Amino acid sequence: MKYLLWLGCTALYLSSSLVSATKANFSGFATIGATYSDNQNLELTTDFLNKSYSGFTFLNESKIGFQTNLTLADKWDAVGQVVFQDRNSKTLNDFIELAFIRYRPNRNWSLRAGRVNSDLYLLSDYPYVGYAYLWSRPPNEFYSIASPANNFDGVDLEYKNHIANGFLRFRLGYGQTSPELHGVGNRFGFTSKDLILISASYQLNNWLIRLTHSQSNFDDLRAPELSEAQLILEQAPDDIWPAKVELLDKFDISGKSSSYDALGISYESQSWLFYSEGGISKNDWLPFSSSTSGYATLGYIQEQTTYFISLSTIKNSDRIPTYSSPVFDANTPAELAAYLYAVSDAVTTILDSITARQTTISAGAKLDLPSSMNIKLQLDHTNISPKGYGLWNTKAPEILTTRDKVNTLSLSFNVLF
Amino acid sequence: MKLKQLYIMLFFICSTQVHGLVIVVNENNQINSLTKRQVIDIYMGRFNTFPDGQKATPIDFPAQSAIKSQFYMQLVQQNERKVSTYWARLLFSGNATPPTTIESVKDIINTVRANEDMIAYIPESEVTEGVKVVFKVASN
Repeated sequence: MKYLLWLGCTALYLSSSLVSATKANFSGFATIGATYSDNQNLELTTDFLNKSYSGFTFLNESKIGFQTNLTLADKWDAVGQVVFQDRNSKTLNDFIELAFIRYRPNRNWSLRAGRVNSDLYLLSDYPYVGYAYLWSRPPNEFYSIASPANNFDGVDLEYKNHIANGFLRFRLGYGQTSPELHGVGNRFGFTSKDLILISASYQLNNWLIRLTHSQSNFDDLRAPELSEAQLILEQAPDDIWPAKVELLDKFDISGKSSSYDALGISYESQSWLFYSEGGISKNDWLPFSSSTSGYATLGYIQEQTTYFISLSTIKNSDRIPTYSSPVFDANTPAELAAYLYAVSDAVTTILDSITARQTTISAGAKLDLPSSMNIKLQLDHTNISPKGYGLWNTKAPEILTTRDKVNTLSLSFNVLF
Repeated sequence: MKLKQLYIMLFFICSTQVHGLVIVVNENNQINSLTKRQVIDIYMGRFNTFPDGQKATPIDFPAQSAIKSQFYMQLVQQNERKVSTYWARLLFSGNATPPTTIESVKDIINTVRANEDMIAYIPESEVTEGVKVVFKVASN
């Protein structure tokens, strides 16, 4: 599927070379965001693809994006978008959000190829455009785990038309994506291949409802530390660590799959806003445990200012197994025993940190300014259950088994250009 | 006192309204009339063609102009901030590009007269030869 991304990029490059023969529009967006979180043991992760920070930082939310829309011919166009932000991995590929070529045979159908947005969530088409949504950042409980699937390399087909008194959009996509995420203090990557996405949204007056389903197979694990631990586990005698067989299977990415179903509803009137989404993910690869998540936000518009409150939650829906530690006898080589102890500790830390169980209450305000600018202020209070730190990065694993809370204050300036 | 305030408010409301907006296209365009929903389809980026499949390129007045505010309030009951947010979502999701902005009624009419795919909203009093009215905004 990688070649489809290059197809999109090549189409953009060729058409920009022939820009005199095409119509080009250039635009962009930027967010300058300051965040302060008051728990020094926990680093805030606004996006699984980005680095995480505690205390005061501009790096969690600041970003800048550039986009070009090219009209190539009567029924052909192309779109390219790069968004610069504090990614875990910083190759050019990690900053390309969109790079597709589109064919519209008629007004109802369109076919896209290249890197396309996934359309899985209400905001998944524009998650980095701070100007376009209400919060300082989309609710972490729902959107941070969604970020690896914001876009994919492949093709999608869209049908849109009026149905009854409303407007229907239906999308079917196929492709793959290879995100680079942060783990327990380390980066790791994998590929979601054979990705199938189905979404249907229906707009009627002020209401929008969206139903989505996706499924994929995990492949191509890129995690040196995990691979090394697997090698050590494989070498461990069964009688020293009987749990190793099951552990090896749980951590083995081959043959494991993932599915996600979500429902989103939004209501926007002159005075009131309401947004709510809920999703269920099912994964049989242990490091990506299954979860149920959702949020509800209510906003009230008073002249230039919109005030809002929000409640969001995520709960792991799998029972994370516990495994017995290795038991050594006098004949076990000291070097192997030391390795196995280290692996056992690492496995315990991973098991304690892969689940997310937390709830956040947020309150904030958005002030609209002239010339496509706004300022947002938001305060979040997050309660995290024991062994529920999956959305945070921590360098103090000993806290993972206790309950904790975090307050996060965000102030951001958003602009379109 | 309250009556005086009401008169003042009415004066300001009336002075910022541009009476009788109409949708115009090139006189050679095959389309002779549009419904409100079809105008919304084009101006809100749902479709980039006229109902007959011919390419449609909408023209807008600049941001913060009274005529633009009136047009979107009458068409979709949304103020300019909401329309701007709506278009940011469409643009940066790669779904559609916003209408072309042209400063003056005169330049808009000249652009529509020169291009069969153009569609614009103008005050009814400004309609000249070379363009034809396909929809009256305020009457629906």
